[in-house]
Amino acid sequence: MTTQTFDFSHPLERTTDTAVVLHLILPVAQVNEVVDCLLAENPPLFFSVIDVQGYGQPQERLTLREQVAGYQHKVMVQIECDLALVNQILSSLKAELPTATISYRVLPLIAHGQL
Amino acid sequence: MLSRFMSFFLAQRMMALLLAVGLIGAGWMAFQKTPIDAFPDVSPTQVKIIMKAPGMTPSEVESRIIVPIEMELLGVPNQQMLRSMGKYGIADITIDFVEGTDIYWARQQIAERLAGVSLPEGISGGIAPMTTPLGDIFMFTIEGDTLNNMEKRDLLDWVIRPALRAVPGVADVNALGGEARVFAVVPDSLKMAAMQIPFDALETALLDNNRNDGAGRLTQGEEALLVRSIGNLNSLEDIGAIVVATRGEQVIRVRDLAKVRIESLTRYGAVTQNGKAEAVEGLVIGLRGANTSDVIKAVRAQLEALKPALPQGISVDIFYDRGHLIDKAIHTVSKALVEAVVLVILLLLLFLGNVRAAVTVALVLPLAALMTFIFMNWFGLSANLMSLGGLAIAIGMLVDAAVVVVENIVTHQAKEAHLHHGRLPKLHIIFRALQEVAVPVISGIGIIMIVFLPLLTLQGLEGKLFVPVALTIVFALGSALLLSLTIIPVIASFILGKPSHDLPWLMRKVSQGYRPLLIWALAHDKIVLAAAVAALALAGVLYTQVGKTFMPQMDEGDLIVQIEKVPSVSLEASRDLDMKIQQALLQQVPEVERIVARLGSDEIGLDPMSLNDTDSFLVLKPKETWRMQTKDELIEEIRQVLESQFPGINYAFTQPIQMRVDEMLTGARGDVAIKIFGDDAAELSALAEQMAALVETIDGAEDVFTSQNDGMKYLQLKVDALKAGRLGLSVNELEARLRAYLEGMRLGVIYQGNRQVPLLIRADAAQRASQMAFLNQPIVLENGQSVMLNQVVEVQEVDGPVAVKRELGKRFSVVVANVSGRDLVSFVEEAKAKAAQLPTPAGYYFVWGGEFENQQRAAERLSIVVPVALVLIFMILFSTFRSAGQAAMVLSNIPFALIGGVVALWLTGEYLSVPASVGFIALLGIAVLNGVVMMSYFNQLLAQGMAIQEVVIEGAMRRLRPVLMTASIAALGLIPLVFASGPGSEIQRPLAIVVIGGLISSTLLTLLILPIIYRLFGARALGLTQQEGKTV
Repeated sequence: MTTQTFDFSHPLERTTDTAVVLHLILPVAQVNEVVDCLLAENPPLFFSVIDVQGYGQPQERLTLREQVAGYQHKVMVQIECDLALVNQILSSLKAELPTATISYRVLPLIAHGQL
Repeated sequence: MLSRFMSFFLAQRMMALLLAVGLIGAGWMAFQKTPIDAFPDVSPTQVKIIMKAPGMTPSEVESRIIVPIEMELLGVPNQQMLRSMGKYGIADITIDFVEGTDIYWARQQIAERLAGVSLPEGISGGIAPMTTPLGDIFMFTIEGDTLNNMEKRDLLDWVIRPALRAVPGVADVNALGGEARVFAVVPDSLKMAAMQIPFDALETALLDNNRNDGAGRLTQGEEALLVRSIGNLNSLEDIGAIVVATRGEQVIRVRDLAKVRIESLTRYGAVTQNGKAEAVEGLVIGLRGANTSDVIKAVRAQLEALKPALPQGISVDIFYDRGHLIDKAIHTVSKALVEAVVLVILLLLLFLGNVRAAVTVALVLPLAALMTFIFMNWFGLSANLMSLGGLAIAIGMLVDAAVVVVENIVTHQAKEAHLHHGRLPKLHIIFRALQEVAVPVISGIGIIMIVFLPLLTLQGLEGKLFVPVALTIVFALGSALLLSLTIIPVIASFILGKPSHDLPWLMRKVSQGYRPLLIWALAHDKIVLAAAVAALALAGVLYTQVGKTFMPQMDEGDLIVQIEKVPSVSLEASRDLDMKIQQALLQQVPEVERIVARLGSDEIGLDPMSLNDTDSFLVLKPKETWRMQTKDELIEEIRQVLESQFPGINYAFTQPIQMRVDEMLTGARGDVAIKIFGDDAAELSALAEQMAALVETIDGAEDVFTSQNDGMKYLQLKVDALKAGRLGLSVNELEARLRAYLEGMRLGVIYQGNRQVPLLIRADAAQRASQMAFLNQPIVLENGQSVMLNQVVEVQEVDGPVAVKRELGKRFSVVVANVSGRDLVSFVEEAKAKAAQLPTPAGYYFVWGGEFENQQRAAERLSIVVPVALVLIFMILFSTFRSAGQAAMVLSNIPFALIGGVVALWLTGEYLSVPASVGFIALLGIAVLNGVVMMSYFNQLLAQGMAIQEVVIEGAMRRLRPVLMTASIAALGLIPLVFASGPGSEIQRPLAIVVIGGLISSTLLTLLILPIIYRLFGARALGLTQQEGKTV
């Protein structure tokens, strides 16, 4: 087994051990509320919103339009933050949008930079 | 796309404000340019032909003039109706063209056809001035003691009329009453017989000796002289000096055979005033399509300019000025508009509890109104009581979009301040709020606009009246919608201050009451639904109790009493009776200030009445000085005077515009006009009499009237062809001689400066007044011998028709009736049932018309178009919610909205008329808007994953304010129309009542029933699941 190694010299910059990427996946109808909630976070967050197509849902959960397309139209929010902040973000989302159906995952962030 | 459009304006705020300023400027300019009138132009494309046949009887007019013209006119393209009337000396033919036909094209077609008709000699006339039945815009009399009626008529004919005809927008000036001056040659039959001068010789002498002419150029050295021969007659002396014959050395001049003097043209009508004396009246007829308000201003200015040219002691006294009606009608609507604006602002303050938000919303009113004027100008709509009424109706709805937008901005601001402590930018919050409501607002307002579109398909009078209303509303709502999504958010971003966390007092109280009520209703949904269905059933029952009519009568402020006397009455007797009636009315009904009555035909022949018909124009004192409250009571008072003191006359009441509109629509005046078609005039008259007697017996019948078409006395002279032939007299010659004797024979014109005075031969007035003298007149034959008239004719006195009326080439008689105290439709149904029992000869049939006809046509049209509109609304709802079930749920609100409308009509005693139907249509739109606002929020909450029970409670609570605001503002915006009292308010009132009543029921039911229905079917209809967002 070979291990891929990165040259962490310029332009890539190694992050701290606790740097993570938080993915939120939510229905399109909830994007405005979620975005506004994230915008109001303190400290301010840097995040992007991406349209995604979600496949694999059982057919009975799909609307007619989704059955035709074969996927559910969803939105993914990518937030780069410290692991310590993830709980704060999820808590405030839960508090502000208690009924929202948002799934999330937290991924470690090894490095970031600008080419 | 929509988001980008809205964000563009928020990002370019200064440009948006500049656009708003530009809009204000353009709107103000459009407002200034918009023509102002009282009423929309309700006339079809109509061409009138008026032919004058002096002395000709109605039957001769029919056979010799009307029939040949009708034959030629049949088959003119786009022709819709051909209506003719032959009266004594006049033929009146009206051709209606299909809606939208160009009037100039139509007149051209008629002129071409008319040129091909060969008519008897001595017939004058042609196509009447290009006016509409609403063209009588200005009437005046010439007052003063220094001129007699003939001089006054001269003044009108040769000074005032030419000056007024030059005013742009004036089609013609009709001269009525007085005596039109003529130079009359009155032959002395005995002298002519003694001198053996036949009538022809006198006629030829007068014809041949009255002309100036040019002969050409005569060269004299280096000069050329224009040769002019002078032979014109200028004075009585000139006429008297004409040589008729010579007997050796002796010359026989006109003055030796006849008296030459100034007389008046044979009169076909007269004008009387205040029961005192005859008067001279001028009637200004407006050109079709002219701006009435401007025309009247110009006419008044012209009359002012003429003042110095009037003789000493003579003045022009105006008794009808359409401008006053226009001012009053516009004032009524403008007042309602201003009051509505004030009410709307007050409500905004109460509901929003925020002056800045209220001001922001209120700003949409002037901006949308100005933008509406731009559209009105663009589409050529005039500002009249219907189009401005449309604006008044729309006022409450104009703010709907802005209310929803601004309310949401305020709510979002408060929410963001509470949740995020003001960390989000203000413009972002406004954009978010706008984004959230943009789609429901567009579809809601779009639906209201669509519900008015069916009105654009209305035809006839109702179309002419309500198309401007619908267009104005569509323009206003469209403008308001556009502004609410663009300019209003920008203004909000400048004006709105720090958000308040608290609901205003009114909303706190209402919310406190609503929440438990809603929870109770959700818990007892079956009871609530059953109660709603029961209310619907009750409304169904009440609907059958509400009377139905075509259109409420607009009070024009003036009153016309139409009087019909016995057909054989003479001009003088008819005039004297008119004056007696006037004296009685002025003495016994102090509410009447002035009476100007027109008897017989006018000069142009636009309204050819017989000598027994009078239109009495009553100028009324201001209503505050009346002893009674309503015009109906005043009419009753006048009716009593006429009934008790003038038995034997027929009379009917109408108003200046109403009279002309009724005539235009059916050729007869009245709520119901029953036309009886057939061939024989006597049979038609008899049937009309029977029908009138039958209609009289029906409850609610008033002013039942059939013009007395027989009873005209004819002195029938049958020429004995053998005797006449032996004497060398032809029938033509004899008939011409008789007409010259009585009516007068025109032999040319005497030019006096610009004035052209007819020259005619006519018998002495004393001889014309005696049957004996007439029949014993000697007729001088070619050979110089004489014969008495009664030797060559058989004389018989017979009865004959007063007038011959025809429609599409077939004779008819008509019975008209007004209906009071009950609805038109049931009246007509009862009358039809009774008429079926009348014994009718073969070939005779009835056609039912009048206002009833319009109502049926409107009902038929709406029964097709309203369902189409409902389908369109369903499609919009479907595309908004992407769910047929949810679209159906919103539409289910409509029947409940109708409950309040029907109950309100029943409670107020108003009839279901075209305006009330327009009210129901408006109601339909507002009810759907509320449903959309509520339902879209339910869906948003459901999409956020909230439980359905929570969705309906929280959603309804959150949308309580916008729903209450849109409904109460729309309703209260119409309150001023309910209480308005000026002219035109009668038309808007039923509409306002229906909308207000309907909004009460629909709002109540939107707030209680929609949550119940949504809880039952909402989520299923949307196909949403609670399990979304788990996987990607």
